[in-house]
Amino acid sequence: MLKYLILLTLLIQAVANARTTLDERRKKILAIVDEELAEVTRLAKQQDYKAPETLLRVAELNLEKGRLFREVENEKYLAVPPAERARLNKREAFIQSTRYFAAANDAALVVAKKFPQYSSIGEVYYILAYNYKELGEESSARKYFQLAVGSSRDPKVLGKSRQALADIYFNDKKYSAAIPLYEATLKGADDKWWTKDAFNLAWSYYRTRNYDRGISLMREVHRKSGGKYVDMRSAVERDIGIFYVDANQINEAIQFFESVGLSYTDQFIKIATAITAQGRFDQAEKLLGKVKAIEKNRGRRVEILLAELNLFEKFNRTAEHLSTSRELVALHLKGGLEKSQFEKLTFHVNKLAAELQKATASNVYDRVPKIKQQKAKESIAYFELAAQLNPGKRAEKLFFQGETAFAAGDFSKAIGLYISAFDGARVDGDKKILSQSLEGMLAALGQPTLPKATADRSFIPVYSRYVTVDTRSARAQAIFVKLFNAQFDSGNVAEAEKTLASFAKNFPEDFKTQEAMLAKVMEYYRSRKDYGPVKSYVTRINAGDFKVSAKYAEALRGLMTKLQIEGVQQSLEKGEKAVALKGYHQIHASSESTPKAKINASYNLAALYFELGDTSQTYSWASTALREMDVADVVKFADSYLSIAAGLFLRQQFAPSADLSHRLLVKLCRERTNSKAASFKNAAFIALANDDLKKALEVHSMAKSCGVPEVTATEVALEILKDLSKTKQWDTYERMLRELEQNPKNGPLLIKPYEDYRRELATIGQAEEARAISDKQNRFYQQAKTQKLDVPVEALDLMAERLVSIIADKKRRLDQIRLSFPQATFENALKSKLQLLDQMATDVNQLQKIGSGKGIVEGYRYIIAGYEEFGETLKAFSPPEKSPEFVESFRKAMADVHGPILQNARKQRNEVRKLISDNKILSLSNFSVLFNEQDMHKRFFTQKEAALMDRGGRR
Amino acid sequence: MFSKLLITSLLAIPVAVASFESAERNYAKSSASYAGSRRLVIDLVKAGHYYSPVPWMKDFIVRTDRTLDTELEEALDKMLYHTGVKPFEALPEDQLRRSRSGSIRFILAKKLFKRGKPQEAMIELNGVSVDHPAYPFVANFKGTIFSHFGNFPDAESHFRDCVRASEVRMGKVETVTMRDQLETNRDYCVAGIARVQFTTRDFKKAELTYLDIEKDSFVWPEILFEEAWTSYYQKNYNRTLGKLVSYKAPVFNFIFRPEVDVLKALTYLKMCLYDDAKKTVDDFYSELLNPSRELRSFLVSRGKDYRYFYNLMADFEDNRPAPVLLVNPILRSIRKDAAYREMKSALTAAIIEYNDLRKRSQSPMTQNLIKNVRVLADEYRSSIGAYVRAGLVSKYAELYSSFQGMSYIKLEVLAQRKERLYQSDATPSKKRGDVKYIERNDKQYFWTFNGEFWADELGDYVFALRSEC
Repeated sequence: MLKYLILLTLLIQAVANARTTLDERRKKILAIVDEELAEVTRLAKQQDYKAPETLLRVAELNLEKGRLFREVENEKYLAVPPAERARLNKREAFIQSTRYFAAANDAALVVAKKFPQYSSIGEVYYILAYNYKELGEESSARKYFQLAVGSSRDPKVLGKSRQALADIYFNDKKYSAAIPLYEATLKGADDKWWTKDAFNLAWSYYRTRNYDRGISLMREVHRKSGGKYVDMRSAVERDIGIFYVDANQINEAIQFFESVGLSYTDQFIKIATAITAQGRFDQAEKLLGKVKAIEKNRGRRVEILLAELNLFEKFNRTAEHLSTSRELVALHLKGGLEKSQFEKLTFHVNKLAAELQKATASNVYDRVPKIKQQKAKESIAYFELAAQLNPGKRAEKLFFQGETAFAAGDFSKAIGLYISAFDGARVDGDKKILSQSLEGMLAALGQPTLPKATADRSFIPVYSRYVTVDTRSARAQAIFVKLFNAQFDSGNVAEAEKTLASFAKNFPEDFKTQEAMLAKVMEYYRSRKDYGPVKSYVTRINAGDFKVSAKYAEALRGLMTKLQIEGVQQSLEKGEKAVALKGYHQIHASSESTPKAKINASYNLAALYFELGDTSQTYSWASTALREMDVADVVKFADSYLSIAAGLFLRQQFAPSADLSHRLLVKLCRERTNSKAASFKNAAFIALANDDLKKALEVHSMAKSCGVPEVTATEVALEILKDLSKTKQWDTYERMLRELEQNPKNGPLLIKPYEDYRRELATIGQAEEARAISDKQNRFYQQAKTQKLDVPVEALDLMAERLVSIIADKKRRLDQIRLSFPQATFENALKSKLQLLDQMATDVNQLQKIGSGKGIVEGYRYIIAGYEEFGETLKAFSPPEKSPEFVESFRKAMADVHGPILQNARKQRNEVRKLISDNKILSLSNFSVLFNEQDMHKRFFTQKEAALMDRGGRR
Repeated sequence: MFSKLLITSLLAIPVAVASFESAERNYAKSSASYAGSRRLVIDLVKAGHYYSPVPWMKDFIVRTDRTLDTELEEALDKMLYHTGVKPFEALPEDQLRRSRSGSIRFILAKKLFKRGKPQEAMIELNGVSVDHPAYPFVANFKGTIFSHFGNFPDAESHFRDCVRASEVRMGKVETVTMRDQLETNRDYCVAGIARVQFTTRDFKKAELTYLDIEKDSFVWPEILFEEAWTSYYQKNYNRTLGKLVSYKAPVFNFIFRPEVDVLKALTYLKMCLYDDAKKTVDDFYSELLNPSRELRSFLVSRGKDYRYFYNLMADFEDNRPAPVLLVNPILRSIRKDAAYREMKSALTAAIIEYNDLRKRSQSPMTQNLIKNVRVLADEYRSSIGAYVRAGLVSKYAELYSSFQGMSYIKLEVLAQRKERLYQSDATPSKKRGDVKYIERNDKQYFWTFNGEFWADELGDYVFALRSEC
């Protein structure tokens, strides 16, 4: 290790020599030092590195080299111009000396570690301490100086160590520790450094509150300074004031300063300034405070205050700085400061104002809003002072105040300040501030955290100022709107209308905004029933004073309509129908009325007249309304129209009803609405009711083109077929049947209509065609049964009727078989009758399956009659020409036959009774099966056109 | 070296022969008994055979738990006089304690001192009587121990006692060798006194005391260096440099002392002659750095192969240079060491005795004695090898230390030069030497150095450089 240490030293030496420029003397010294190092190295090697003194010598020599190089480096470093020096790498500039110091340190450390009992260990510690000090490692330096003081035997080293350690303690503010060391150092010493060390000792006394000793020593230092000693007079004069001040010996201080020919105020200010630079704020403040209290001269007081400003500024005592600034500004306003004083004050005020504003604007205090507010408050106060110092720039300062408040988030305050700045700038003609303050107030106004009340209060002052400066820009365009809204919202409609007018003038093409503004204004008046201004605006709009879009124009018309209708509707709501009628008539008749208002009026007139039962007027206005009204509205009011049409029909106004229905259908033809089917049916049925078959056909013809549901169209068609049948328009009838037949599902519905046509064909002798139709009917029926489609009752009756005719035919055949003897004949007849009755019973069963009530009752009527008549005939029959015994025997035997037959007849009657009752069958044949012949008188037959009773009962 | 002074017997050769034969007879009778062994050793020593019975003497000391009787002690002392203490240094302390012999006590004190027990060493030394032949050396040793403890007055007192005892003893010895050894011991004690004075920062006295050592003294060359230091501490730098320059004289070429250059550089430094100081340092490094590294590698590679180092020195003495350049001057320096010379002399004597024994009829005892001498000679060789190695290591350590010293000096030079640059005052005077800068005392004479070395002038040269501080 030691070998390498020494080798390293030699290497450093080689490198260092190549680097630093040395003067001749230093070169010679270094040459010797190098020789010494070489010799020591040789010696150390010879001693096998076991001699601490040799190693110590290595350390000392390296230290010496380090010092020599440090001197050269220092000179070189200080020769560089300050600006350039600031850019230099200090480490690089002192690299050579640092290396030697480090080498010295390494060697000394080895000695210290390896030879702790070495008699000169104190010197080793001293070297280490010195090196650490040079290397800036204060704690290590202190440690080794302490060790050196504790172990040095060499008085010189001991003295140096004490002095260095004292300096370290002094610099570390460990004055109590420094004092004995300084005292020991000074004891007996009388070199030139005495004054310097004594000065530090005096300070140490002072720091330990031993003021008297401190002052006394200071005075001695002052007295001794110069000559052979280092001159410490200026330092004493600078610092002794503090000693006196803290010792509460101001008078003594004054005496001292006067004794050395110094102005104590100047001196105290100088002291304060100096110690301020050292960071000793409290002392400086106290010093200035004391001197201020006794100084009466205004000029010097100002100087003191200015010194205080410096002090407070340096130590961020803003509150005190502000207070002092205020005092100085007040002094200035009272009498005017000297130019240099004024400049200093102005500098301070402006600087603090700006710095505080900057602090406010930074994000440093975002998390401590109270401080931020405080800084803003202070900045604003400084700007106020700045304005007082420079009234010509008041507007600018106000603007800065606004900026500060803005930065602090106090937008309410900012707006006020910006407005003041703006107004001031306008007076001064300062366009820059005018513009900036305007921007500021707008920005403040746009802040989301601005209280609404403030914002509401500020809109008008801000926007109204803006539009005095800018009326053309896009921003002005937006601001006009904001101003208008603010004015309008605040109820200042008159101003809002002015803004509207101004806007219309500056932005004539902005229809949309104008429309919005107009709408608001007009609505305002409309809501107050003050229609005059509204109409005036409409007139002005129509006159082109305001340019609006077509849509808006339409909206305006709507408004007018609304206005026109509104009054009438109110009358109606009050039940004043006559007034309402009159009103609607006026609206409809007025040339000023909008089409919409007119339509509205005509519809309402129809409704009103309908309510009043005036069918003619109803029809007339309903037709007008239908004609004028657009399809959408017709769809909307379709139910009403249908009601009106139905009402007209009920009031026997068939033609108007039909016409209205037809008109309605025409209007709704292309619309997808449920009302279309109803209007279609209504139109057709009312036409049929009005015997206007042609119209009905016309209506029906619209079914396909209007997209009427097929079910509805079929329903109407079946009704039309009835009328065609009645009017014997068989060609049309047949064509319509064939059209309906196109849909297989219509089959069962067509059975009955085809029957009418079949009968007609049969009547006119076209049997073949009639039979074909008959087959078709059967096919329709069978298909319906198969497909389980509903079959109309008429069709069922028809199909049952056909089976009933077969039963009736069998009944006739039954009746034609006569009972007679001989017995064989009798028995054959009996047998044939019973066979026919069985067939009839089978047919009746078949008939029941068809489901025709009429058919069932009719079928039962035949079979009941068959059984009864046969039973009675058999009961009454007596074989002719036969003995009574025979006859008796015959009768007895026949009783077993006719008894069951009659019983069966009664059973059949009960069955049909139950069927009629359960199925609520209404049939002309009911009577014959429910009653006997003797009850015929109970039967009631109606006259033609008799009124039918409604079986629905009360609803 | 002092062991050679442990002389008590001046027996004539016929006595010796008689004793050898007596020894042979006793050997044949009871060689294994305590009494037999004792008699055998005594007879052999009396017969002038000092080396061959050494293992038996050592064995005897080890095996018996009794203290040695007077006759045996005398035999041991005589033996030690010839063999030196080396063969007995390896004996355990507890066994050495059984001897009351002054020589054995000395050996034991040496061992204890080496083991860091100077107090116990002092006790052993105090057991040596003043009239014992080894006493001058004991006094020297005691002065050294007191110095070691920082008890400089006692130290100086013992050194002075040493000087006195040495001089007294010098008058009593018959041989030149013995006299020389006592002289050397005396001079070392004079140096000891000077060192005490130096240590107590009485440099003036020290300088004068050093001057009491004659230039022809065996120790003077190394004392000259201490004199230079003394002058240095007296801030008499020109004299320091003058003394140091003496080492450049050919007569001192056996001196290998890196510290001389270190002191020279240091002196220049003190005189703020930084260029001279730096040049001295740089020259030192350029001259010795790589050789010292080689020396280190050499020492590491050879480890503790003492025989090798013995052979290395033997080769060197036979004018065969060492494989590493720096080893030669160090060997030259070691060769002049008293301790080396003592061991070398003992080995030579042992070999002579060996040859003598081989010439005799090869009785069982003779054969064993031959074997004993062979073993002892091997031990000597090993000791010499170890000593040579230790000398090399020591010089390397000195070099190592000197390099560090030089580095510090160079660093100081550089620091001073740098400081001058920081002070922007780097214009030294061009005037370098002048007589007026020379400081003298009453024992010194002023000689102008003319670039030649004269034996009489050595150590008296003085530079005349002006301090640039």
